[in-house]
Formats: sequence, C-alpha cells, structure tokens
Amino acid sequence: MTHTEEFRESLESGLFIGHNIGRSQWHVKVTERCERLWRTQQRVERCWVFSWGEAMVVVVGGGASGLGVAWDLTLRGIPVTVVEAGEIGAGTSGRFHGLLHSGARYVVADPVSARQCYQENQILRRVAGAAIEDTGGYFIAVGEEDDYEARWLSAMRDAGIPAVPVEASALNARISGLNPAQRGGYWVPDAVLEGFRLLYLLSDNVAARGGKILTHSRLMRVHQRNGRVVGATLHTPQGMVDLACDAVVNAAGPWAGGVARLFSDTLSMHLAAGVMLLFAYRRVPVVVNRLAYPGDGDIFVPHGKTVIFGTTDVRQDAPEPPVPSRAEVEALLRKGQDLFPDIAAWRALRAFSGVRPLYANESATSSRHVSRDFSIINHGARVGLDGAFSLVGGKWTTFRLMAERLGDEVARYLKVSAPCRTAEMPLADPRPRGSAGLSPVVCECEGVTVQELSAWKEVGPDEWRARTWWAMGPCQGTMCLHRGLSLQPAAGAEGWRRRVEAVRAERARGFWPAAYGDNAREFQLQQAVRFQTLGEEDADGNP
Amino acid sequence: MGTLKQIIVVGRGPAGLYLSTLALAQGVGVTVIADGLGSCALWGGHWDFVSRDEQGHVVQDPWRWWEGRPPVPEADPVPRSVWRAWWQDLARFWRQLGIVPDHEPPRTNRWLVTPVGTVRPVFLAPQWHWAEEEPRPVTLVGFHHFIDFPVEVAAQNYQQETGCRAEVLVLPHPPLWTPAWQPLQWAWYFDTDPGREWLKDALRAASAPASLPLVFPQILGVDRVDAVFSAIQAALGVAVGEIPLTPPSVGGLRVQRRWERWLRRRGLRLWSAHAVRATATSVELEDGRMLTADAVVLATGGILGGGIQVAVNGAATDPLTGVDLGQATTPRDLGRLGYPRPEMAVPVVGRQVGGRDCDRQGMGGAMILWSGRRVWRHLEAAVGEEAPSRHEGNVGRLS
Amino acid sequence: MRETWDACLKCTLCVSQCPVVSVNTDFPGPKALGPEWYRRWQASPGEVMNHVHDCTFCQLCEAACPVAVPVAHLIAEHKAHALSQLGWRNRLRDSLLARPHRVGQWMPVGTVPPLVRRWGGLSRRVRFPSRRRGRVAELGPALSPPRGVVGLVQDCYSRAYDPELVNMAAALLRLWGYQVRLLPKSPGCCGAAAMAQGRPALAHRLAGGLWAQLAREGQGCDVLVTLNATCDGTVRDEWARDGFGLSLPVRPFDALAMEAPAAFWERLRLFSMPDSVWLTHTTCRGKVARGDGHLLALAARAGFPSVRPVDAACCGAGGSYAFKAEHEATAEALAEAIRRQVAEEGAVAGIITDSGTCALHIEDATGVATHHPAYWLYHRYRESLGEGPANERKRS
Repeated sequence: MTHTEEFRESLESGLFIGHNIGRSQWHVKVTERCERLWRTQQRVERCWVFSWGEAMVVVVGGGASGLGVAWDLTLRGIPVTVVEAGEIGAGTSGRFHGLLHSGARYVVADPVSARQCYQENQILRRVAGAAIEDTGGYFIAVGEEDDYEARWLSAMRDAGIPAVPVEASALNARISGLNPAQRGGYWVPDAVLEGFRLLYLLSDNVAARGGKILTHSRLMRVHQRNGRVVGATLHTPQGMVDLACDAVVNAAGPWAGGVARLFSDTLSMHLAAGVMLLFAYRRVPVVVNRLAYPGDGDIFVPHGKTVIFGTTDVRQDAPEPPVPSRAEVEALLRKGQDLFPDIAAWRALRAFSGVRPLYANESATSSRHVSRDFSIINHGARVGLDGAFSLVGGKWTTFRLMAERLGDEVARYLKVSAPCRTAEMPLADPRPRGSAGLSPVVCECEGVTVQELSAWKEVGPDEWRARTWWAMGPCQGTMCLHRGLSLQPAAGAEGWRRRVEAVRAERARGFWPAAYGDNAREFQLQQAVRFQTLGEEDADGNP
Repeated sequence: MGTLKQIIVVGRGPAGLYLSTLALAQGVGVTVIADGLGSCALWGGHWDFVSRDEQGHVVQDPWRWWEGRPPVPEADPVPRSVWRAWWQDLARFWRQLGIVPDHEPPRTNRWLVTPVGTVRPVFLAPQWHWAEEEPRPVTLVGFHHFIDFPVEVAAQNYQQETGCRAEVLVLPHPPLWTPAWQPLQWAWYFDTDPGREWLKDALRAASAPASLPLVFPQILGVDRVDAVFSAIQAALGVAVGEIPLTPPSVGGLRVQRRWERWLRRRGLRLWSAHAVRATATSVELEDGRMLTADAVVLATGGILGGGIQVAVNGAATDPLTGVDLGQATTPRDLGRLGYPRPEMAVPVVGRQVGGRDCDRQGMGGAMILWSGRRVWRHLEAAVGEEAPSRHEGNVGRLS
Repeated sequence: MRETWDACLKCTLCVSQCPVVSVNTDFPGPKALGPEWYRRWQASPGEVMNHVHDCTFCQLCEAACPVAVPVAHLIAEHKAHALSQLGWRNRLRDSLLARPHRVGQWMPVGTVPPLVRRWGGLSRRVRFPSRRRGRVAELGPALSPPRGVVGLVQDCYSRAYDPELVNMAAALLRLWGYQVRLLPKSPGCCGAAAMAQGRPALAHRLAGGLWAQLAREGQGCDVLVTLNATCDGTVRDEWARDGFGLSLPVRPFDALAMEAPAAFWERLRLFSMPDSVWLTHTTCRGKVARGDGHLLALAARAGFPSVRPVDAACCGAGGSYAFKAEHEATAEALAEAIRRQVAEEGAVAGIITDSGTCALHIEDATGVATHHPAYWLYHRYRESLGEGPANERKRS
C-alpha cells in the first residue's frame, strides 16, 4: 500500500498529522486542516500520521545525535518526526560539561576520535557560531612530572591539532586562583558549546522546515512488513499514535539499548555516569584542562556566567542520570584542588550528572578506555529488520559527523541521492530573541525579563528554563519562581500548585548535593521563602 | 542584677534583638556584634507560634498543640500560662514600637494571605498584615508591572483555596516608575507625600468594589506606613491590609527599624564586625580585637545566618565555638541542625538551637521566645541571683 | 580576609539599606550595580549600567550583606569601567575630587564662583567648606601621668578647612596625658575619595603613598588616632584588604576619649548643661567600619543631656557627593530626614558627628550647630573651667 492509499483510507478512520515537504497546494491545505485537528484534540485514542514524501523517518531521541540526524535528513529533503521521551536535551546532551573539544583531551588514548573532534570543532564554529563561545583552552601541567606531556605533544603533532606553549607566569596572569605550582601549559582550540542553545537551534530549524518534534513521547512499537520498517506506534501526551514510516533511527543515547529491543536486537551499551559541579560565577575565563591522562575532576569550562567543573566516571546499568551524592561532590572538589587550591571556597550552584552512552564490548574496565568513536548499526544486517538503525557512542562535539554518516546510510536505504549539507548550512535562529526593552526583570540572577519569558510562555517549564535561563542562576528560583510561573496561562489553584512543585523538585535535585558553604545558606533561604513567605505545601516527601 | 552588667550578643536578627531587649529592659548593658543586617528584613515581621505539625498539616490552635510538647526533645514542655505571659509581654512591647497586633495574644492562628493568594497560618502579626481569623471576600490590589504580587493568579488561588470571592483591582504604575523598581522602591515612593497622593488618586480613579477590604502587596511605605494606611482608609472608607512579599520584606524592615531605634535610644551599642571566635565571656574579631563582657550569647541565626557552617559532606559546625553540630544526610536535616538546647557553654538563641525545622513547621517566633527566655534566666542564675521560680509568675517585663 | 565576591544570596538586604535607593527612584540599587553587574561583566565584559555614578560609596550595602560580598567595591569597579558615561568636564571634576588633599592644598577657601560651579558640574545650592582658623587655647596641665605618644592623623578635610578641630583634638589628647604628633607632615589621602569617584587604582596608589608616610612618620608613636570616620574605616578596613598593614594600632578619636582620665569626666560633670536635646550622627562609613552607638555613649558620658541618635543612616553628604550638581536632589532628600527629626525632637542644641563634610551638610540642612566630638568636648571642658560658653564663637 502506498502512502497515498494509506492516507485516503485513514481519512475515513480518524485523525492524522502530516508533513508537507515539497508537495502541492492541495496537500498543504489538507495538512493544515489535519494539523488543526491534531492541535485542538485534547486526547485521541488513535491517530494516523502521514507524509507525502517519498519516505518518512522516525528518529528516537531529542538530544544532539537525534536532532543532528533530524537536521541532516531534513536538509536532504527527507521528512522526519523526532520522538523524545522528556524535553529536548533531557538526556545526556543537556547534562554535559559544555566543552567543544579540540581533540586534545583524547589525542593520546584515542587519536581517531581526537582528529574527528578537531575537524568538527572547526565546522561547528562555522555553522553553529551562535551556540559557541570561542574562549580557547589551556592544558596546564601540575603535580608530578611524567612522560605524558611528551606523548601528548607528539600525538598532537600527528593529529594536526595546534598547541601553543604558554609560560606559567602568563597563565597566572590570565587565570586567577591557579595553583602557583603549575608548570605552564599549552593553548589549544577548545571552545565552549552552549548545549541547549544548539539543541534548540537544531529543533527549531527542523520544525521550521516541516519536521515534527514530539516531546514527552515514546516509541512503543515498530511495525514491519516483509522485514522492512513500515510504521511506528508512539505514545504521546495526546494519546497513542500510529505513524507510517520507512525507517526508524535509534538515537536514544543511554536508552539506546531499550529502543533496540523494539527492533528485537540487543546493543551492548557501556553506561557511565559523570558528575559535574556548577559554580555560580565565571571563575575561569577560558577552558582549563589538566595536562595529564584524562581522569576525574580535570576540566573547567566557563559557561555563560558560570563554570562547569567535571567530571567523574562511574559505571552504571540504568540509563537515567543519577542524582549526585555529596560524597561524589566532595571527591570531585578534592581533585579540583590540584589546579585551583581554593576551589572549595568557590560559590557552588548545583551538581548534576550525565550518562555517557558508550558502545563497547563488555570487557572494557573503564569508560575512559572505551573509544569515544561512534558506531552506526544497521539492524537489517544483524536481525533482518531493514530500515532500523542505531547511532551509538560518540561525543557531543562530533554529533554532526555522526549524523552525517547515519544520514548517508539512511539516504542510501531510502534511495535518496541528496548529499549531506549540514557542514555548509548555517544554523540561523528562526525565532531570534527580541530586545529586552522596558520590561521588568523576573529573574534577576540571569536578567530575564517579562518580555523574554512571555515569548515562550506556551512551552513547559523545563523548556522555558532552558530557552530563557530563567531560575537557573544563584538563587535557583527562590525569588523568581512565582513571578515567572504567573506569566503562564492560568491553570487553576491545583494546576498552579503542580507547576510550582514540579519546578521546585527539579531544582532541588541539583541544589542539595551542592548545598555547602554559602550555597547551604542559599538553600536555607529558599526553604524559608518557600514554606514561610509563599506558604508552599511540603511536597518533598517525608525523610 | 548581681554581677551581670554587660553582655555581648552576636547577631542582629530577631533572636539577638529580643535578647538585647530583655537585657536592656533589666538595666544590663548590651553590645551587639553583627557583620550583616540580620534576618529581620527577610521575613514579614510577624511571629509564628506553630503553623504546621511534623506531618505538615495545618495547626489551628497552637496553644493546644504545644500542650505537653517540649520545644526541643531535651527540654520540658512550657505551660500554657507561661507561653501566654511571654506572648503578652511581647505584644505589649510591640505597642511601644507602634506595632499593634489585633489581639494579644491571639486565641488561635490567623490566616495570612501569601503573594500567590494561598493562605498560611500566622500567630502574632503587625497591624499591616492582612491576617484574618476567617478568610473573607477581598479585593486584591495589584499594580501594572508589579511582578512580585501576581494578582490574577493570587485571586484565582485565593478563591479556590478559601472559597471566598477575590476581586482584582490593577492600578497603573506611578509616572516615576522604571522597570528596575523592586518592592522596596515602591515602598520608599509611597513614603513620600507625592507617592501617597498618587496612590490616593489612583485608587479613587479605579473605583474599587465598595465595602470589600483592599489587600495590597506589602509596599505601602516604610517609615510612614501608618500615614499611608490612614490616607487610604480616609479616602475610601474601607479596611486595608498588606501581604508580605519575598525578601527583602518591607514589613520586617519596618519592625527592625522601629525596634533598633528603641534599642539605640536606650544605649545599645552596635559593633559592625566579623566575629571569629567566642567563649562564655569574650569574642574575638576578625581584625584581632578582643571584646569581653560578663556573658556572651550567640544569636547567629543557624545556617542561613551563618552561625552554622555546612561542609560538603554535610557536617555542621559552629564557626565561633568550633562545636560539632552533627551531620546532614538529607535536605530535611539541614533545617533541624543546631545545638540541642539553649544553655550551652556559650548560650545560644533562635535558629542556633536545633531539633525543630522552624521553616517547615512555622515556629520561629516560639523558638525565639523560648530560647531567649531560657538563656536570660540561665544568665541571671549563673551570676548568683536567685533564679526566678520555674515557669511561674515572674516572666520579666520587656519594658 | 575572606574572598566572597561570589557569595551573593540574592536576599537583597543591601538594597534595603541603600540611602540612594530610598530617595532616588531611578537608582537601580547596589545588588544590580554590584554583584549582578559583576557576574554579567565576567561573561560579557563591556556592559555597564546607567546611574552607577549615583552611588555614594557609603558601603552600607556591604555592612548589610550577610555573606560579606564587597558590594560597594564591585560598584566602584563598575564605575571605573563606566567613566565615559560622565562628560569630560565631570570627569575632570571627579578626578580633582578624587584627590581631596590636593583640592585642600590648592583651594583652601570654599568660595566657588557660580560660573565655575556651573561649568564644573558643581552644585549651586550646597554650601562649600571654608577655612576655620580660630586659635585654640591649651586646656591646662595633663590630668594623667604620661600615657604615650599619639600620632594624630589629619584627614584632608580637617587639614584644609578645619585646623581648629585638629588643634582642639590635640589639646584634649595632651590634657589626657598623651604626647601628640600631627601626621602626616605633607598632605596625603587615604584613598576613600578616589574609591567614591570610581577610581580604585588611584585609590590604591594614594593609599600606598599615605601608608608609606604614616609608617615612616609614625615611628615612635604608640597609636594612630583618626578624627574622620571615613579615613578611620579606610585606614583600618580597606588598607588591610589592600595589603597596607600598619604595625601601629589605629583608633578613632572617640575611642580614646572614652579612656580619658577620670578627672576629666569629673570636671565635666561639675558643670551641668541646660536642658536641651543633643543628637549624634555616626557617619555611614563609621557605621560600616565600627557600628553605631559609640558617639552616643561618649556624649552620655560627657554629660550631654538627652542625647539621641539620628535615625537616618546617611545624611547625604557622602564626602564630595553632595557637591556635585547631579546629586543635589539626592543629597537634599537624604538630609531632609534629619531636618524632620530635628523638627520633631524640639530644641536641639547641637549635633555631634565624626566627619567634616557630614557636619557641613547637616548644619546646612538643619541650621543646628554640628561638630566633631572633639569640638564639643573641648568646649564643654572649657565651660567647666569657667572659660566662657561654647557657643560664643560665631559660626562661619
């Protein structure tokens, strides 16, 4: 049955959404009507989704690799629907250190990956400049001398990554609080990647070209006919949706193993959590790495007005990022003292963890020894399900390259000849931020105004935060939560309470493990404001 | 007063001021050492007895709740008559400051409206607070661009939570307004004659629903709040009240300014300095100076006040005495950290005393009263004076 | 010193104590101009805010801060990056005012012609200081055995405009048994004025200069005594922060006065004053560096009847702040609170304050004689000796 036939059949049976890439006026009109129905429907039992393209691809995962694939396919003219179980970037992509690697970190252990990082670093600066801050980075030698520096230098030469020697005194002048015992280091083309900014650039551009981004939705089933993918069943906030499609791409990061089971395949994922600590002020102006074998607590990345410090490496089975413990934060701080002796006195903001979704054989002892290279798995070859692909491993920095390779594979399968264009096509903001103008400031920490928040008030609180940075600063929403939420559409007293609780709970998770020193005082100020001034119900659960 | 002539109180929050008042009222000299403003202006200026039980349920009759309950596990319960005497005395003292609680002490908790329109229990509240025995229909007054009191949300929440009508009246903002204005700027503006006139005119022009009380965010002036209230009442002939907002609280600021004025005029000396060590009779300052007195009391405000430091592993210490105060392993533990009782080697009052989560249970006021009285009696007894008979009769007058 | 510039809890207590916020509706307040600006500045250097120059650098924000954020110092840093907001004439004016010891040297008489005032961005309403010369009689033989050598630090203002006060303080100190040495020999500045004008680097340089002078000339002294509360706070708190530590203790005049020999106080008590109200005003910088109530205690000890503290935290003088045309309204509005209190208190005979510019400004606003405690103690002692009422001297 062709798509058109399926579509005509389903016109009689119920509701549908559609894609309108490059189709006729008639198609567009019908699509618009379908869209309206889809939107106005509070909840539907069953819904058919169609496209008029030659093909349609469902991408599972709204992180860097998923949205990267979606953008790649969109530019090739292949319609996509992205299915994300949480919010955009809710998985690993929104929980990383923000470093756009130059490759220098992996150049000794993993030169292939390092070279890829360097290439991608250069490409992303071109096409995604709006989400990249070109701070540069230093690799700084501190502690006992070993042969690493020599090996690192020769590997850097081999990989063609620039490294400029810097005197210790110059480093001290540039970076305050640095360990006076450091022995100098090297400048490398590291940069800062604003993860959420890039994710939203990707998703907004995909959506602007007709792609569908379904958040809070899950892939439940893959339909096959004669060993080929022909459709998918999705669980969406509006109900169950059956979707005709020609391929499914599993880019679910740590959840990729679970998604692969829907293809009746198993993936051996190597999951490892990394804990990161966010400091409230931009204590370091550039990326600072320790010049040593990659280990715990050896990266500092200035991220906007903050600094992210990481990370650790703890093997785990579950794909969900664990809430960091205070002991982990303590251990991390101890490591950080090698580079910044006073780090324990820096004002902390939050701690969080991300799960590295590496793909490897089970024998690897530590994920630092697992290649950061990525793999593309064609499940057709493995379990005989054509049109099912998985994209696993890799790094944020190389997401575009990963998407390109997978895009090639999918395009080949769909017999689409369009080449990859993501390395040339700049990611422009389809909905640029307006000027703040004369508008009261809701979030004083991050300077977010009523006007800026109002521009996004139809989205959920998490996306709202990630897009505007509201409630993300040092007070963690203590003073601004009620100011901000009151700008959203009215939801009744019960709805209000639920919204408040949801944001509080999300903030509290990262706040608590970092509640030491002055941040413990901030934590108590928030408790007092919540329970005394705002009379919030105690929804933290009993001890 | 025996040999107790001069005491040092470290800390300038309500617990420190309360103890200073007890001492000054008995003719004992007080030096307060503080390296900040203290916490008075963080809260609305009302004092809680107990608002919620350990399970988080609202307590309506705090008198009954306290019956047979010790303030901290190590202490004896305080008889109702003693509580009553303490509250009565505090209310009498407030009157001297021009803060007039309606009923003193109240028979039950009253309902205070929050900035988001929900209601919470409150015990002793200044006259400005909109704190009623039973919620009743009101007009909530907001201002254009005044985001600290989202009046539409508040009205909806108030109606659904209390079942009482809440009309909404949104006034424009004054011509001098800029987007940088925070509640304090509004309050200072209403302290001026033009500000008060503008408010009266704006209210007249807005035609508020007749007869309903007008409930404002707490910005109706700082030092001249009473004049603002009278002006509105005279102009519109309705009851007026305020809702305390998030910090810095204008209500708390009003109380602190009046209270400290009273203390200063009675010779309180305020040292602006950072204390680094304390013993029972001395305090060492950051610059090396050493102050001595007959007694030292720590009113350093627990974790929020800086009187308790929390390490990364959750271990809590008093930085002035070095005393180990246990370890927090859950977020809830933080609220309960502190000394087991007030009569320590260096006595402690207010949030330095642990064992109760004053934020969650809404009992900060009660803990200040209790710990302040305990420490005061302890100090008097320590210098050889015959201790007043336990709980009965002599509660010591503040004024 | 704790390095706590990143500790801000967002409690906003600093704003609640800011005198400028309380009267100037355009002023964004210390939190926005200090820690919040600095946090933004680190991420995107180059952004400055309007109205930053309206800060008086009173530091009451810092004194209010529970976590010791150097709010006013961050604002001074902010001002330094925003100097271009001022026109070149105001920049010139401020660079003069940043060096008050030079101003005092070159312009010892504060009669500034209206044209110059207008051209130079100076207030045309406010009173400028003029030199008080009056000779000062000694107070008689010391009341105590020798107590050591005091290095009396002359602040820029007293040296230039009120040498009489310096002489009175010296006479009192000698009466109390101290040898007095006037320091520094040539005009120097502690740097407070330069900080207030948003020139932290200059402040550092000036402080270093005066520090070297005091360290050299103070040899042989047992204690350095300050007359002006701002200098006092700067020399003790700010210098320690900048690494200019002095081996000598630095103490304010009123602290030494509290230790005056018993015979001094007995003498004062012999002469009881007529029923009248006296106010004490601790300058904002005095409140920050030391606290409040010290002047009140001194006045009560000296037998001044009905002494009360001024309720307002800041009188509006702010060093040279009130002399600037653009700050006229703020300075007047702040002084208005004191004027109101004076009116409410009834017969106020005098106001005691520990800064020359505050005294000038308060006297201008209230019409009540306002002087340093040394002045009042001096005259009170003279009265007790039967040497004529203190008020016979005409105010300039």
